[in-house]
Amino acid sequence: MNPIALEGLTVRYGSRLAVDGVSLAVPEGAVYALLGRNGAGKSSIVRCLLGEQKPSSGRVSLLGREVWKERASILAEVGVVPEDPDMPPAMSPRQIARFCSRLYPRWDAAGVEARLKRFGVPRDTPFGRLSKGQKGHVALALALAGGPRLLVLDDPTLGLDAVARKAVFEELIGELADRGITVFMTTHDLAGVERIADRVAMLRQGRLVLDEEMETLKRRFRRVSFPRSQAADVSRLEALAPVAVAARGWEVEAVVSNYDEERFSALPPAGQDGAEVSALTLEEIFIALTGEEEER
Amino acid sequence: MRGFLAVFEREVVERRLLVVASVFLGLVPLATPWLPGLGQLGGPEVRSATALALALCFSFGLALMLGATIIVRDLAEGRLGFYFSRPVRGWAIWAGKLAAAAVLALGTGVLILLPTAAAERRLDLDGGWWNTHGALAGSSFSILLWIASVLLLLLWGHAAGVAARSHSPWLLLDFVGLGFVVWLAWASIRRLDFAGAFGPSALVAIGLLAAALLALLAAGAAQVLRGRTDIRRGHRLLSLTLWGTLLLASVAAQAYAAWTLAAAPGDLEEAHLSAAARRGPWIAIYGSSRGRPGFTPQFLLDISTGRSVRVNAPPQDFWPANRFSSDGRWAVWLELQPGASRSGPYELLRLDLRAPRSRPERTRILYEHLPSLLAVSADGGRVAVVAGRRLTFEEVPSGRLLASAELPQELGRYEDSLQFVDPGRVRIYGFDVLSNADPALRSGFEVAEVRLAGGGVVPLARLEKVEEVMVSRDGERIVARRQSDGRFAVFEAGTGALMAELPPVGERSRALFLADDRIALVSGATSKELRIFSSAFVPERTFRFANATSLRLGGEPAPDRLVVATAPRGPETARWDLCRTWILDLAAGTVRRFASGMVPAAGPLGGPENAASRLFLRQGTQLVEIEPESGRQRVIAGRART
Amino acid sequence: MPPTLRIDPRDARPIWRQIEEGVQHLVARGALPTGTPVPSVRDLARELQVNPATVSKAYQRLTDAGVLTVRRGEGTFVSELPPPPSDTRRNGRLREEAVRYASLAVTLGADRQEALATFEAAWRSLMAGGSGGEEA
Repeated sequence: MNPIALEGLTVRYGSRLAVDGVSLAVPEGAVYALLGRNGAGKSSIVRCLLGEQKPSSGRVSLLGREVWKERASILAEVGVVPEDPDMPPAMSPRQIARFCSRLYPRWDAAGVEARLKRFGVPRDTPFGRLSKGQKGHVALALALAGGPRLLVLDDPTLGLDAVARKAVFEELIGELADRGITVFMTTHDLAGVERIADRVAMLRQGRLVLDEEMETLKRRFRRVSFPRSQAADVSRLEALAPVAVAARGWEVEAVVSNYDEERFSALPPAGQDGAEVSALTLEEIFIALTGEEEER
Repeated sequence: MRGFLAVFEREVVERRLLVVASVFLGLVPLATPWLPGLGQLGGPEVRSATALALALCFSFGLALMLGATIIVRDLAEGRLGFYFSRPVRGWAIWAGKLAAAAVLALGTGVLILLPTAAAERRLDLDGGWWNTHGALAGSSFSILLWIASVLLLLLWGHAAGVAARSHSPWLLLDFVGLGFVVWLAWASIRRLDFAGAFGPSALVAIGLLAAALLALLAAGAAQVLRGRTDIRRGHRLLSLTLWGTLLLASVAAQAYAAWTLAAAPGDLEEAHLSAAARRGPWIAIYGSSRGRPGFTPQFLLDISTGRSVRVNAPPQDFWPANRFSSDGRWAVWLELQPGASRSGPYELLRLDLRAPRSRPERTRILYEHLPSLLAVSADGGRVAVVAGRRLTFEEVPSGRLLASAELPQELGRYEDSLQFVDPGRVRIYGFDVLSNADPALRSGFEVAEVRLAGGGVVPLARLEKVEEVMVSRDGERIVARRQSDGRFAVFEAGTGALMAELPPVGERSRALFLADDRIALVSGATSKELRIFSSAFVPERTFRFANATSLRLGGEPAPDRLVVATAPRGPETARWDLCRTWILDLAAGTVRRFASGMVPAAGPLGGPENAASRLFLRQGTQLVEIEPESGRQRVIAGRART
Repeated sequence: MPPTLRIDPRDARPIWRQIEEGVQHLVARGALPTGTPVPSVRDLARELQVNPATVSKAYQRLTDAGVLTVRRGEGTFVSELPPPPSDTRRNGRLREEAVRYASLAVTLGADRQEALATFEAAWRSLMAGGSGGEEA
């Protein structure tokens, strides 16, 4: 049973199609990263995933059950970290934790305290007066305290500085190691998820244009650089079927998405005349696919 | 349950300042006697009034404010996701927040009242509102009303809040829906009120308010449970649920109003005879029916064909609201003019009883207030009406005023009577109708006449110190008991001259005119003696009924036949349910047992041509017609009590 | 652990392979003597900010290859006699890096002599336990 399964999810706001027939499945124990620009439809998907919003069509199952109908019982095992932590501004983290402790069947109060202490968040300050980073930490601590099987994070590192980001990832990794939870996160932080996600998907204008294992993705994308002179040979370029081509200084770079060691070994070896093949970071892959810079 | 309690507690705790504020406000009334200007008005009164005013204003104001914010603010500012992303059920969120708001609005009101109530009770301050009206405030009805009002304000505040902050086009439906529903509701209540169906109209009003409460509750729930964090979708669900439910309720109200007003004689549970035409098969009845509490519709009914017409005459059960012309052709009555207020003006209507498909006609004759007395001429062409101190003659149906006269004083609706003796003369009968005597000292029975031709009010006769007076059918003779010797005597109405004296009888006795101008003299305590005298005062027959403590005379359903009912004594009153009904042959002097438990519906002035002489009331609820010869019974209206 | 292991996203190798080969490298260099305890999966994952499953996979492979041993109840340790890595991959890697070095030398205008000398110096310094310049 996949902790998350979306089938043909479609969300319309009036005439605008925000999510267009998205189908994906997150296997148990996986860390699944959903990438996409702002407005690509990520937040709508998360809302539908949590049963906060009814999709225009399609099925959403969370932990094997339909979430719109059985939301409350399913969410007992799901930890949620929203993009904009929406805790009541007048309540202190301690009060919020006490409130939440009454809702979940398992609640690790000591764990919350320990985490907040570790993050350096004052426990009795009203939530509204905490910094963005502290708010995020509180949300994460609360999400983990219920002992969830699944963690849903909507851009958890947005607006956080490097220290806070590191702290968030360390917590996640700790949970992954200790309890083998499943993680679903939407994010802009490609560098962060690159190391931790084992599946990655990309949403563009409401449609899923990518959904595969990180390893295979990184294995098949390569940058092939030619000296300018060789690039004049157009047929050679075309044979590569590149995803993107750019001229940079002395060279022409072609990004290919179908790299295969054997096939590409037909290329002349590196050297003055040869092509140079190098790997791409996730961010570079993303840019090549969307054709634009991802916002930081 | 867990989630509900957690949400409830959290919402209340977050607003604990309101509780603190109310405690302080509760102390304010105690300080009022010392405030400048208010001190003179009377300590306890001012205190109580202030406390009550503060409590109600705070309570209602808070209800509105909390209603508009406790969910809507979170929803509009995107914070409702805090709840929905946790394992707490939608209904628990809705109920928890609503309950918190209700408890806060109600609780703060109580807290404001508490110090004053405690102070008044403990110090036994007389004149304090709490001490004098505390029972009213504490009564379950008042408390229920207060709780219902707070809930209504809460729910309405919530709905209005959603509508205002969603910026969605469904707001239009809200306006249209509100207008339409209010219009429908108002229409049905007004319709019922106008027909005098105050019980049903109150039912409809309460029903619609309850429906509004339930509809708002359901609509809010639908919005929270299905709309969740989407305010626009929520608004759509709210509007559809709310107006759909209310539309159904309003339509049901209209249907109930229509059903109520479509009452027919066959629906009556209890039927009573109000009047009967002197000749012909038409009678006037009224009664109550199941499902229409507090509404007693009145009908004109043709007992031979069953045709009935509902009449919207004022619901004064014992005032013979309907008048029949003595030729049996016309029935006239008064109805409130459509669109009028409850006090008037009244319009005279008439119905042609002979035309098989006639409908009530509106004459254009209007009276500003309900007249005290109404009489119609023998051919139905004129009416005489006493309203206030004026007696007027109007021509029917043209409404032309024929004559009017000023009376020395106002006449009593139940005590006095008015009668046409011929098309140009009416007579007024009653105790002290001409003199301005104190009604408690009523001394003389007076007869006065007013002519169409003019001449004002002409006194005709005054009978001093008489009681138990009855006027003959033609209005020319009066029988009464003289207080001096306790004997009944017959007087000429036109002059007051003594015509004859009847034999002396004991205390429990009565003398009555029959339809054919015979006189009946009834006497006896444990058994009854009935003596019949001819119109020339010659004793004709005497009938005796053993084991009868009460005797009631009916009419003459056939020439020389008289109906009588006798009842044995019960522990407190006569047992009319066990009465025996007899038909007396006045010519032969025989008595035949005719029926049991049947009380004559009309008095002795009904003759053979009068349908009422054959009508009886069974168990006080059912009108039955009995054929004089065969004894065959036919139910006219009403149901027997099982 | 004093010698550092770094993950390079630009590296064409998957992360688990980088960890695997990194550990092998440290062991081969002598920076991780036999019997040294290695960090738990959890700790290494947090340190490197990578998915624990990745670390787990690397450790599994290292254990299967005999580089690491798991002693129940005690932890994971560097094995007594770490066997040499498998042939074909090893040779392929050697060749690949050699080609790269050679091409770099040519680009910089060094001749075979100089290239070889520089290489030998680097080898000597590495064996002496230095830190600089050894990362891939």
